[in-house]
Amino acid sequence: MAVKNGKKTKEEKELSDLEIVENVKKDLNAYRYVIERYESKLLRYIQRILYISTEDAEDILQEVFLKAYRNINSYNPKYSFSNWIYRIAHNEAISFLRKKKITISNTEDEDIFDRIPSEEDIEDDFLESVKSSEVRDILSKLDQKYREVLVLRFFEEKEYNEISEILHISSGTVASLISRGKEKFKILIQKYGKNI
Amino acid sequence: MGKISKKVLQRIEKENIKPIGKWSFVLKNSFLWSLFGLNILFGSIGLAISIYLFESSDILNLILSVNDFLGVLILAIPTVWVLLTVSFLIVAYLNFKYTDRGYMFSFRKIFVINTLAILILGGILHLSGVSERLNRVFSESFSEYDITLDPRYKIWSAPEIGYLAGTILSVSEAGIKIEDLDGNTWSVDTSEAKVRRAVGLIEGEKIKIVGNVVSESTFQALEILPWEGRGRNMQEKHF
Repeated sequence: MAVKNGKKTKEEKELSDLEIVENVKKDLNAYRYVIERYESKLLRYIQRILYISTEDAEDILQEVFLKAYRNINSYNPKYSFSNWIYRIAHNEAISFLRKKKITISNTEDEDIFDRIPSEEDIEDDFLESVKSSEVRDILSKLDQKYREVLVLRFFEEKEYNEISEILHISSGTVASLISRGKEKFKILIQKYGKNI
Repeated sequence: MGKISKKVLQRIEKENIKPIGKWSFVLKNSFLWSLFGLNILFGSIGLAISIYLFESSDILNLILSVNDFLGVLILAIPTVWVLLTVSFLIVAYLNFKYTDRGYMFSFRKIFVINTLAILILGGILHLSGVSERLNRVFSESFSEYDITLDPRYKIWSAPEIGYLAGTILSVSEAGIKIEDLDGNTWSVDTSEAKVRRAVGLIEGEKIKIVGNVVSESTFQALEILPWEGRGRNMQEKHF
């Protein structure tokens, strides 16, 4: 394995996830490349779905990597390693919410959501609009289940089948959650957009 | 080395964390699949016995002769076995859902797959005679089984509305003597009865009789059917 003086060689940068995972099974030090490859992505993901401090998010992230290391043999090389480790991050985030009994969404909005017409359409410019910081604040008012699929789809830019793998729900359910999430999101934009 | 990777690697070394062996995950997944297979098998057995008991009640033969057909039809449903079958179907669904790729399938898909599996396997078990043999084993092994789970014991213990069953104690020219399912003795006049081909009318044989109560312990038989299996599709003969 090409680990020299704690620096990544060109070869390591080009190693696939699968190759790195194989190396981890032989040498613990190779695990740092998994961590370095995913820490910023997963940290952002955790913060986006939980709206917690960086310190708390880092604590969760540590647990994610510890859990991933413990369960490294359960990873099936037929599927994406990225989705596998995102799945662990999702589980740890949910576990954190349960332990802290945190509810992020604003339940007052639930009545409004129930009156949203289902044919409401907010399509092509959604990806652009969702990235603004104003929109991130509005996103925090959505239910966890909608927020998470929207984050995965529009921030992490995951495909439906990848979201299905991460959240362990069928692709049909992913499509339905994204569609309904976008509708609810639009209502929130109309309600809070100007005040943020 | 980054802050997170340093902390994580330090904790792994300090707490001596080791990756869980691959066999453990293989075992867990195999266990779930085996459990799924077993639940499908048990569900199929439940269905096969349900079909067998329903058929053996001969309820479909009685459509024209029963006044309260719906009431008798409900009695003929082996409720416990049907409930067991549904329970196994639900547990099989949960097993499937929690296998490594179970999440990819919607509730409807898993439900249809499991139901079809139980219907096909249950049908095969019934047609091959396994359901009858298993029912006999249960009947011989558990004393309360017949009374609580076999609907024939409810339908054919109603001489007042024309349904009587029991074991033949003796056979004579005038008729037969039987001990009914509650242990009472009846003299049965068989002179005008149609006897199904599968019935031998011999001592020790268990039979079902359609007819009328003549007196406290006398029964006029109109039709005699076998206890086991279907009485229909048999050539009829007059006694």
